[in-house]
Amino acid sequence: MASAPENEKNASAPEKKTLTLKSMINNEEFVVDEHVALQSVTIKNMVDSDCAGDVIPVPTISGEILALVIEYCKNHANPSASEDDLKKADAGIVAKDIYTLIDLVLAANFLDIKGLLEVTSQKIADSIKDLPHQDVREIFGVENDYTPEEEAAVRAEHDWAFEGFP
Amino acid sequence: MDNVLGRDLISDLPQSIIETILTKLPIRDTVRTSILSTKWRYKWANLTHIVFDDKCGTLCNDKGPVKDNLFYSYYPCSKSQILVFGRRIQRHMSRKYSTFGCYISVAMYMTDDIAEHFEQSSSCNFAKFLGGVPCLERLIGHIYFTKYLSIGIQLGKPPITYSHLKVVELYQVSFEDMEEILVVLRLIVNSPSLEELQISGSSNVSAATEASDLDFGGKEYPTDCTFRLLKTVKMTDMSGVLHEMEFIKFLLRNSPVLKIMSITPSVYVTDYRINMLIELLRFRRASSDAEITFIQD
Repeated sequence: MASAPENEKNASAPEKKTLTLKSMINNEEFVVDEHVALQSVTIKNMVDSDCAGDVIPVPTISGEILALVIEYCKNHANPSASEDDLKKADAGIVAKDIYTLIDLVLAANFLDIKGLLEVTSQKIADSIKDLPHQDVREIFGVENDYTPEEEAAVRAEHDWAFEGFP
Repeated sequence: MDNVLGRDLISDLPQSIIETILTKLPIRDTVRTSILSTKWRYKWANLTHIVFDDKCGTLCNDKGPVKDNLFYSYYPCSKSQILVFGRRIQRHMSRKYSTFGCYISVAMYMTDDIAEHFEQSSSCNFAKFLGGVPCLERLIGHIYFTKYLSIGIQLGKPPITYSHLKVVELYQVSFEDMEEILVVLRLIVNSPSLEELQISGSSNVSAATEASDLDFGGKEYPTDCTFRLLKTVKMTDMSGVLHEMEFIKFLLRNSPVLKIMSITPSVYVTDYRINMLIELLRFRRASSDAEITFIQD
């Protein structure tokens, strides 16, 4: 009977495995619980195939973005979070300027985190929804390389979609 | 949201990301991206899942496990959209799906007004829509799709044989409409690999009953036809009208390896069920293994 409390302790606090993610852009390191990091299919594949060392280098993603990604993964790894909580938390994560959103969508794509890819894409889509295409060009810095004749032809092909737009 | 640096943030993103973003936009906005620049002209056209909803819909990329699947949900809001998307779908299909096996699921929702407009267009929708996909493997047609295909259907030799088509599901087929029956017949008679057929009737019983004395003596059914591989047939929402029963009779008589013919009567049909059963008993079956199940709720 004397050993019972010890068993209980072991059961309630199993040793948590952690992984260290390192941004190769600014060498910032993040220590995260393994089950949090494994929401990234890319990281999971590395761990599963024993390709992951003590520190997992993450190329092309800055520390700032990686911190957001980890925040997302932590929220979604929390079993007691309600759907409502997660929605609010997701909205907070994607409430960023367009540069951050683009970096975030690229990070979600690279790390293969489907949920994050979805919410980030949704946010980007929402930010251009219903806007005239001239504004969309400006927001994303898209250069219009159509000749006026070509542009008119594209517009004519889908005239219904442009009804009511300048 | 202002891009103060002016560099292009989005045009060179991986196509999969661009598609994910495009799927989140209303279809009108997705189509409008074609005008951003020459790079954008056809980006939206690569999406393979088109869902039209009451707000003009959204486009989705293919989420299915099998590549080269095609899903269309069609909810046209106006005549011009119907025409534009009719053309678009045909072009899209003939470009992308003429050589690969594919899987098409279509839902069309029409108002009577639009259906009428369709009927005025004289060309054969069956040939237009299904004429360019000889490698079709599975076809699912939801509400109004059979009706859409029936418009302008011509008698005579069908354009192609669907030698890969194994599964056909057609929902809300009106058996009171001769031309819809012709669509179903033309499709299955020219699909020698057909294994599974599922059809739901239109639950509009009163119309069906009134129309049961249409001039339809079974002469439209080919006499020399055999469904060599057809194993499973599910007929649901059956109201037991003449044309439905004729159709079931035709399948039973010409399907030598049939295993299951399941028939579910429409919930609105109560008194007539026993008549359906009596009639079913009399039908000749080409397959001695065929089991007929009559499913009552």
